[in-house]
Amino acid sequence: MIRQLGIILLLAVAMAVGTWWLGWWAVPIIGAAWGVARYGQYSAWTAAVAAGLSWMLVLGLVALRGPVGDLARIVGGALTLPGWVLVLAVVVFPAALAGTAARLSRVLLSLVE
Amino acid sequence: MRVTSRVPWLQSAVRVALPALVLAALVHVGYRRVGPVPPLGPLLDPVRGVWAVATRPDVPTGPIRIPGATDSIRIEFDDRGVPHIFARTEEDAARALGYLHAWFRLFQMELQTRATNGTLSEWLGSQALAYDRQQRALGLEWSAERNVAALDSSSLTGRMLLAYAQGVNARIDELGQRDLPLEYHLLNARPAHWDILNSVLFLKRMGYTLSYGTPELRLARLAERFGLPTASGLVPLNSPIQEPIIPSRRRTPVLDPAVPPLPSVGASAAAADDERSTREASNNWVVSGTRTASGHPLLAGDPHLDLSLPSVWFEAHLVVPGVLDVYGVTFPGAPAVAIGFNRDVAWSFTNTGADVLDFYAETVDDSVHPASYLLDGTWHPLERREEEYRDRSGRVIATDTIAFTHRGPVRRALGRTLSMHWTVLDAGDEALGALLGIGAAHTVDEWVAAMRAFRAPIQNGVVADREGNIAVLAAGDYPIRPTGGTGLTIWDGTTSASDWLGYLPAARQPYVKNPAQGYLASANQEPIDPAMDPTYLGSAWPAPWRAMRINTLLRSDSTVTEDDMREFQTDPGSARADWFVPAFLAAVARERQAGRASPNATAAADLLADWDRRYTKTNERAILFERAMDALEELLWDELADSTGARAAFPGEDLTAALLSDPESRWWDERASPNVVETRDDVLAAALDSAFARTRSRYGDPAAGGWRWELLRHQNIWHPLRVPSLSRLDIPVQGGPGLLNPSSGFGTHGSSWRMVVDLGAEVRAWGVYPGGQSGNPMSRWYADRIQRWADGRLDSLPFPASPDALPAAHRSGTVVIVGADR
Repeated sequence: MIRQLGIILLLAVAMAVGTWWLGWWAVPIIGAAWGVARYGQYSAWTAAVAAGLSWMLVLGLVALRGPVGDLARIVGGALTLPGWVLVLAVVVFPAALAGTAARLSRVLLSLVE
Repeated sequence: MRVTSRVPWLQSAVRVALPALVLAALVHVGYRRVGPVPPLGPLLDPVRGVWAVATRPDVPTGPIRIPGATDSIRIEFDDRGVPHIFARTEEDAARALGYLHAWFRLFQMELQTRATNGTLSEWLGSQALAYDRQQRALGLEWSAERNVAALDSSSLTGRMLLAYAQGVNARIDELGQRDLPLEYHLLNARPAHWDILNSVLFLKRMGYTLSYGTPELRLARLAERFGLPTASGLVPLNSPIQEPIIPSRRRTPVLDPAVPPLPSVGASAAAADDERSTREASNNWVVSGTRTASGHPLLAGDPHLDLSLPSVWFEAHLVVPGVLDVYGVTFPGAPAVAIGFNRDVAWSFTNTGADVLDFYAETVDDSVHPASYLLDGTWHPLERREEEYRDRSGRVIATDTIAFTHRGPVRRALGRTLSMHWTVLDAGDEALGALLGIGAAHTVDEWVAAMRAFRAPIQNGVVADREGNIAVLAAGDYPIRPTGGTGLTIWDGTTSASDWLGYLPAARQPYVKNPAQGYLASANQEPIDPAMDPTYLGSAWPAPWRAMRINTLLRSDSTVTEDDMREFQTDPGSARADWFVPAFLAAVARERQAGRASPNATAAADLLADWDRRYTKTNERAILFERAMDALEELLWDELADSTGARAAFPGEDLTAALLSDPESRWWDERASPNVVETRDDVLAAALDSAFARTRSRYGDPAAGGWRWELLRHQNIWHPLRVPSLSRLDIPVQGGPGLLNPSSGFGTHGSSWRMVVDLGAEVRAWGVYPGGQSGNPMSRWYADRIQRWADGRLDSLPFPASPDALPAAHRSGTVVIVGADR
């Protein structure tokens, strides 16, 4: 269990660094790479949790330096959404990206083999 | 399961297709806009996305490098976010101002450029196409491009525009994705580079906002429906109530009733496409030392514009030792203080509203695709300009060809081909040159001399200096029409004899210095009493209620203080109510005597009789009066409405006021009661009856507290993208229709900058605008001034002579700018 958590944490750090280095599309790329690596039974879920965690952690760091909640309310207002939906999207969107990318790459690899 | 196990390829396909489709959908919404939602990837990215806006500092942090800067420029920010820029040259001051405008207001600057040159579709898609087409048809960019081509780059104006653009672009060039203003994240756009053309376009836009009026088209449409005599009466040349800017020999206000004749029999009011008179309004006034408590001149400025958040204004203080030391409000987009003061002189503007645009009926070779037009018996080629409209992706979504005669752009209107001659399209960079000149003036005479170069849009400038002089000048290009004609004519375009003969010479522009009355005021009213000078300057002037009120206040106070000046700016008194309430009361009194007054009219009259005619927030009678005025307009001008109630014309309230002096006029008669001939008193009493019933029905019993003005009248300050969370709405104010603090309609128009300046031994000043210095909604300076503005308070404006003279308690930060090559 602890090993699994450690893996997720490491993957989350990799995704955070990837996002910082390359941008948002680093998330599906790393997710896909994780799926190819076939490390563990639940690679898609692992990638999804790590991606959501990574963006949540980075957003948490941003929140230490500025009023993210107020900004979420303003931007949510512009999109006619409650602010919390936007914050939730920061977790769900990368999670879905990384999870599906990992799943797809793993399936493709199994087909090739 | 069974099926898929028998068909392995199908099982594999399903296993691949499902995540592939989901991933494709996610990548799609990551990259592409879906409806109103921008691409989620760059938006939600916690590193470069919209979240970075939350961490942005309130002021720039150095070091800042601007190409071309010749020396270091020091900027001290005070605690209101106002930069005090200390530079060695005017160009460096312009570079710093350009950089700061971009730092604080970049989105606003690009938005107003796109709104002027008709490229909003590139941001907003096809929903903005109709607006873009309308803007391009005005020829503003065509004119701006000609101005830029003719610009002398060695002139002060040329150098300032270039330096300003360098400053703006220095900021744009240092913007990474995470530094973009919030709106760019929402639009998924990148800022375009700034060109001096953009600054010229901005000045054209102000010309459009302040001087685009088409009374001749209005008159022509009304004449088609009601006949020319009636139409001419509804669009009067002169204001029926005279309270001019230039003091008249007559005792004002003077009523010059010019009641229009009734529409001819059979006239049709079928369509309601008439325009209401322009809402752009402003106040300014100046009091000489002979009428102030301190013995120094006092000046108040209060331009009224459409309110927006961020504000149209940005406050700044520019210092170039020995050359310039000017404080005031600037327009993000232009390198000059528009309204403000320096160490010797203070000034403010209101819009004159003169008629500076004419139409010419042209004869063209082809009404749909014209290539040439007839002039003095010869066919002349039309200048043609191809316009392409693009969407967000850069795809061309429409094209237009705009044609120009020697007068200006051509359009189809009233079933004819009309060309337009407009001073805003003729003018070059003179407005900017004049603003730069007045900022450096030391006396009223120097200020006036610099302002004489101003061409468009014509402005009423009041000015005072520390020597004790005061003056008002309505400066700009007033066209001289052939044969003494007016701008209410659609001219024959086939002859050059219809063309303007030039512009009114400077000596004939409305101007007065140090009048005996000891004060001067302008509030967009007709500048000169036509009994003194009948020269045509314009038509359909707004009713002079604000001018009457401020003149009443200034006449009655011979020891004016700066606090009085501030209080006058939000004075709740109403010259309009002072004019109409006695008429309502007298009418009901006569109806009572005759035994005809209804209970509602009687109750309303009793309530209005107790009213102090002040629009304070807690007042409970103003709403009744406003409803009575609405009802009076409906009943009086019923001849101008069709069977559905849609109105084809909206005569000014000064025409209504003029009709009060003619109790038997046929205008008072109601079409709805053909067997009865109503008189003035019948209609006034009926209006009160209706107003009382409507007000009580909507807001409850008069004593129940629902009639409080602050519950009903609000100002609404919208962000340009109309996003409520970026706007400040439903702000109660002490103000109302026709008041010095005007508030009517949707509450989106009002006082955009209030300023009071005391020209004593040391100039002292106070000011406020509804908003804040920053365009970043997360900044403490985004909307910090709105409550003070709504309360009618002003901030003291620090005016340090040197960087170190700004008190430490008022400092928010220091920035130094150096040249990029240093």
